[in-house]
Parts: sequence; structure tokens; C-alpha cells
Amino acid sequence: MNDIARQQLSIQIESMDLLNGQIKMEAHASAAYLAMASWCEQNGFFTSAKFFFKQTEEEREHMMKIFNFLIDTGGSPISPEVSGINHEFSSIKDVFESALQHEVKVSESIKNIVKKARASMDITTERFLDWFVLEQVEEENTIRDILDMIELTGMEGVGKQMIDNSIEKWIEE
Amino acid sequence: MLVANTKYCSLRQDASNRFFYLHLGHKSIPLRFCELLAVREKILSLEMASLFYEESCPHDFKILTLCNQQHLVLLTIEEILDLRELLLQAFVRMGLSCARESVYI
Ligand SMILES: [Fe+2]
Ligand SMILES: [Fe+2]
Repeated sequence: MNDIARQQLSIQIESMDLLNGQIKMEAHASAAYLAMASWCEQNGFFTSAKFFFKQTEEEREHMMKIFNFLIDTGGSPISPEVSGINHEFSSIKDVFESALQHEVKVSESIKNIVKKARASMDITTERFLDWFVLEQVEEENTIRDILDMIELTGMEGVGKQMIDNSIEKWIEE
Repeated sequence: MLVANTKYCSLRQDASNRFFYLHLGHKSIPLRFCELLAVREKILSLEMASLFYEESCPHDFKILTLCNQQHLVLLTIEEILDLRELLLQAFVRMGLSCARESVYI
């Protein structure tokens, strides 16, 4: 088979499909963090809101990174539809817990794509995802640290205010 | 050169102009590679179960537009399933897929 198709596309087609799924997931994360920022603003956690506004931007950058990779490799990136964003949280702890849940899901999804890429010998995609694997370690770790801090501080009395003030530490420039 | 064929359709490629030709019954649709990807996306993202509901697929066929609405095709459920099979097969043949079953999401 004269490989016209291979000359046009540098990755496996299944990798492209999975990466399109990941684009959607990053877009969903971005929107979910925006909802969390909104909740924080409305409930007086202004520093936490700032944290989530920044996360929103980062998730969009992740999405664009994958989007551009698909363009560079000759694939067909799909602009994602996002729905089902939760805006209801029972506490600031609840907000960060669901953020952690989100990040864990994203980590698992990325590892799954790495595994599939490896199985199909798609080294290009596997190497591209190296950055994401390590980024996820950092993101999970950040939110775990914040949850530890919330646990230690406690939510009674001035606890909530102290929690919000402490978040500043995790908003790197 | 023939890339793949199934009961109702076939896909050929022409190395001289780098075009693919999708034959659906009497119709032959010339496609650039990116258009072939778009056709694949369109067909594989059709929710198969919904084809069997009257509202989405009345009288057993579906009307699809392909290639930025340049082509209008009318396909029965059986032809859609066949085209789906063709596209899966074609990408395996072209060395861009090792999966028999699509991981399409
Ligand atoms: Fe992300
Ligand atoms: Fe993240």
C-alpha cells in the first residue's frame, strides 16, 4: 500500500480519537473550575476564586496544547462540546475535593492514552504525553496539599477565612 | 488503487493526485485526506442506537451531508453500518490503525 495516508498523518488514528476525547476533558475541567471560581466568589472565598480562575486558564492551555498537537501531526482536532457543569457545593472543602476527583480522572485518562499509544507503537503520541503525565502529578499534589491544609485549619470560626488566606501560597505567578 | 471495500462501498486512492475516492452505490466522492478524516468522524460519531429510533432515522434511512455540505447522501441503516466497517478497515489497511474495533468516543 502506497502510504499517502501515512504521509498526511503522523500518529495512529485511535490516538487522534483519544486525544480528541482528552481535548473535551480539558475543556470540561476548564469549565468546572470556572464554576468553582463562581461559587468561591459568591461565598466570600476570594483568594480561592483567584486560584480557580487561574486553573481555568491552565486547563484551557492544556486543551490548546493537544489541539495544536493534532494540527501539527495532520490530524483533525474537534472543538469540544461541554455540558453538565456542577455549580453546587456544600463547602469550600467540597469544592477542593471535587477538584481533586477531577484531576485524578484526568490523570487516569492520560495514562490510558499512553498505554494505548504504547500498545500501537505510536511513539510520537506517547512522548507528547510525557509532559501531561508529570503535570498531573503536580496538579494532584497541589490540591492534596490544600485539602491537608483545610483539614488542619478546620472550618470552625475564623477557620474559613484562614483557609482562604492560605490559598495565596498555591497561586504561583 | 483499492484501499478497502465492503458490500455497498469502496475506497480507492490515487497516488498521482493524492485523492481518495469513496464509492457509495452510484456516487463517487473525491476526498482529500483531511476530508476523509472528516467523513470518518461524521460516520463514526453517529450514535448507532439512535439510528433505530423513528425520529432520528425515519423510513430506515438517513440523509447526511459530507465535505462541508458539498455532497448530500442518502443511506439506509445497513449502508451506514457498511460504510462504518469500510472506514475502520481502510485505516487499518493504510497502517494508521491497528485496532479491529474502533476506540471511537
Ligand atoms: Fe489539564
Ligand atoms: Fe488539571
